[in-house]
Amino acid sequence: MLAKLVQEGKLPPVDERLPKNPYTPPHSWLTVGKYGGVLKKTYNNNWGITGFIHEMQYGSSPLRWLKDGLAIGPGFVESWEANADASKWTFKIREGIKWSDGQPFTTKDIMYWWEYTVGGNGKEKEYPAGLKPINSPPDEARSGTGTLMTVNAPDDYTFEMVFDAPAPLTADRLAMWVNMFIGPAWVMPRHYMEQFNPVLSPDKYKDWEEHQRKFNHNNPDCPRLTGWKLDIFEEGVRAVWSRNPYYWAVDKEGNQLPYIDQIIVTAVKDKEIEKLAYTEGRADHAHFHSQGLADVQSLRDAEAKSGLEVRFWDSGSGTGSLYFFNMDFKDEKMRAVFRDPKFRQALSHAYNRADVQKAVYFGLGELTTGTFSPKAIEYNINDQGKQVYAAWRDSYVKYDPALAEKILDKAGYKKGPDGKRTMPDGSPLQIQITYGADQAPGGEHLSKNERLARDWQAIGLDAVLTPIPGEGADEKWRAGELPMKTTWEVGDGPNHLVFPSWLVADETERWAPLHGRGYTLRGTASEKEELDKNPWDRNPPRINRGEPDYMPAIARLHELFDKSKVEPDAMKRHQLVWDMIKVHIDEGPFFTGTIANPPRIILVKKGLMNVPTRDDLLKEGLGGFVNPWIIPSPATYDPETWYWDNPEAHTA
Amino acid sequence: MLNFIARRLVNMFFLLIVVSFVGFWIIQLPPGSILDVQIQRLRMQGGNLPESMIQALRDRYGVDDPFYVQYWKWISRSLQGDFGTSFETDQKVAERIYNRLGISFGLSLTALLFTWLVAIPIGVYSATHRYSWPDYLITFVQFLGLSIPGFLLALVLLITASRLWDQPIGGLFSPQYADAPWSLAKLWDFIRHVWIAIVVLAIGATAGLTRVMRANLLDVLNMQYIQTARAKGLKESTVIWKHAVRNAIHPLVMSLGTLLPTLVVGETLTAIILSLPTIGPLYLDALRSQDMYLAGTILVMLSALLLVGNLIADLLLAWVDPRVRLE
Repeated sequence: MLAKLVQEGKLPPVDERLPKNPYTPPHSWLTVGKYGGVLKKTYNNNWGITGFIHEMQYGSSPLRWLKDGLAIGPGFVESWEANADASKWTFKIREGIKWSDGQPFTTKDIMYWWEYTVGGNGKEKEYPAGLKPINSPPDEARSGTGTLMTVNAPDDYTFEMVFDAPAPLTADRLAMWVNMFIGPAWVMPRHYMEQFNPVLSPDKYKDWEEHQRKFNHNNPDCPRLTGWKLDIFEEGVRAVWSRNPYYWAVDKEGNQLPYIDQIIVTAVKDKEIEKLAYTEGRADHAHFHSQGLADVQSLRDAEAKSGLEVRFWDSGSGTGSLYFFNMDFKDEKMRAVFRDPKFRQALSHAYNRADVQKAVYFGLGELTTGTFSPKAIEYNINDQGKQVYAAWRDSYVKYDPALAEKILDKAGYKKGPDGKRTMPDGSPLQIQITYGADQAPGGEHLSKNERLARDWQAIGLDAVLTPIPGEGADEKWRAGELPMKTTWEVGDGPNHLVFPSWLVADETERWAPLHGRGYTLRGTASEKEELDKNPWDRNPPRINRGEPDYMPAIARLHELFDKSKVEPDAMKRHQLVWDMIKVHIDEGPFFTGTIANPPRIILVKKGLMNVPTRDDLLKEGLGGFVNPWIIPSPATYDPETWYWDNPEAHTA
Repeated sequence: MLNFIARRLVNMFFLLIVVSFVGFWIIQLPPGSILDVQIQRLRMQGGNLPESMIQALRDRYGVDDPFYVQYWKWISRSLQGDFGTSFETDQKVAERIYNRLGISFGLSLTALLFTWLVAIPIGVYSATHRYSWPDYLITFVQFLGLSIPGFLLALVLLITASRLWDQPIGGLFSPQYADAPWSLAKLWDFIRHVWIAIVVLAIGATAGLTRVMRANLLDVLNMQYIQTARAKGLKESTVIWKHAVRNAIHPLVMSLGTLLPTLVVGETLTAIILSLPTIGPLYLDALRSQDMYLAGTILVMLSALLLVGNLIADLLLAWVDPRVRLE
């Protein structure tokens, strides 16, 4: 496809398109491919037809996760180093990378993002009055103590991140996300974007709207760094992607990637119709979001006709459907119950996980109390790590209703005359298992909840299923007005500290929302405001450190977490994580899981090569880790290396 | 007459402002916002979203602004022809609607023409041959058409055609024709994509319309002036088509009033099943995700179409029936 353009003089020859030192995907399963062909895909929403294709490509990321998160490799940054206390990081960009329109890619494109959209390096002060930055500084822009970095670019190919304190997780965080349109941008095609920037042309633009519209994965005019670039986007209909002649990667024989000429994505509106497209073989590949385990049978039955092979990759989820109580529930008496570790431990023992595993997860995965992802590096680094994982996973996993009843009796939750357990002071105790009313009946979360209610009723608890309106539930949760969340799962990684929210209350969505809010507002003016008010009446509702409602277990977690943020030594950081997990084992469970690491379905058309199987992934890494967005999959396995064994047969 | 039209148009303008205000208010009534949908998607399967990113989104969408501020932001710009940005895709609202308007109108008009061409003659036949076996057959088929929901029919047809004739699933064109210039092959490809939609839309509507036509005509046929016409020795076809049908057609003309908005969003469920890029699914999505500017604009557009449709219906009626006076 490209050779013709070069002959016609429309494109420079390949040597001039590639950087001096192109990237070569390192995976062990790769073979040298053939050029040509079309990959047909389908997606059931507007976002997917451009957003997900962008998510499949790691080309805009400075660094890359490899081996399912066990290692970090180069991306458009070819080498990097930190000083001794990890407070200054230096990165070298590959020389000669070009945007998909042929313009050179340099540190200017990074500085543009940092200074003219985030307002970094003090540039915010130079913005026109009333204009705020459109992007917020990402996690990696802050040191362990929370102050912002300075970014310097001494030349076109070198940039430095300078912090006031150690920032040991910087490389990990630069590998997270595919970047550009998903996650923090990091790169923006300056030559294209600056025409729309309200900071640079305040006469033309008063706000960021036009800038935002142009910097979007659905804008074909926006130059890319990824293997394929968007040619056509018809909202609700289709998107057409073609190979980027300037993609800066080659295979091991030096042939430029990607092999496949075009990706054509058709939009379907309904999920069942999308499934029909797969069983009829109208698409060549599907990542796990579209089809669940319940669809395996029908997809397998259709395999002969559809030519789509069903493969399984590990999800890496710490637990599938889970539940947790609101440690900061507004009602004082119920809050005391939820905060009682004995109560939560008893309920965990009363929960028949094996039954849910059989009914909902087709017997897959491993029973768990609820942990972080089993793929996390802290569990895989050495034997101690493996023991920590096993200890947490097994802490309260045993199904033992008699034991549960004994614990409850001892802790004072005695049965009343009607056979229902009460609070220790004798007042009635009802557990509302809340979930969004829009949850699909028969879906994984509801099926689990029904069994949960049954198991808890069996030990004399008054547990009722309580659907609530899905909209606005987040606001209520943050204000401590909802007792439980039951329709989520744990899927983060690849280590505990880049996204620690399940482990430590540092935000408002998980098990201690008011503690989390208090933590995010530390050091700001609001920590000193509204102190005379009850935490639930503050705006926003929050619990500050040292207050009577501040839980000792959470205090301990915050303290360990703060230490980990400035600890440059990786092994010592792992130790701190293990210490935090000990708090979860002793005072937990704070969130309660069902099964860990169920597989996910990947559909691959026969003849599509270089798509790894689970065995390939096991040989090199951990057998897959597809859940988190921060290790983008399949981007981390380089789809640019995929090829057709007979490209002629796969045309539009 | 002109006076009448001018007065109606002025009234329409103010009515639309009121409708937009009430509509906008109702759309944002449910708790939550477009943000919840965005966050939900980003979190899909346990993914994560930093607090700072959420706050940036909140600021951008202005979801923390009170209702009247949001409304004013939108309406003040709308009056200047800028309907704002759709949160879902970051495209201009006008662009999103415009891209779908053609196919919406095209589909519905085709189905409508088909409906009228079939329904009026059949209704007339059915009324003039009451209680004959063709009438029973027609009635039977009509009730089938009325009672099978369009989306179900679409689903059945889609799956059957997919298995039997390699029916394309979703979209308007196969990839190889999408960018090709119009040709016979491309037209055929297009028909292959949309025929189910037209059949489904037409079947439901035909059934209903035939019933209405039949009932009306039966009423009219019993009138004395029909007897008079027959007594005068007019040809039966003249009696029916010139005297009876012309009076029986009033309800059809009146239905024009509601027809215009139906043309735009009437095919929602069918369009979802067939993945057709029409306004209906767009409107539904916008309402569900509280994509405020998009939903508000479509709502106002539909209201405007309703009002214009009624105006046209009134004028047409005056033209069809001299007894009707506009002032």
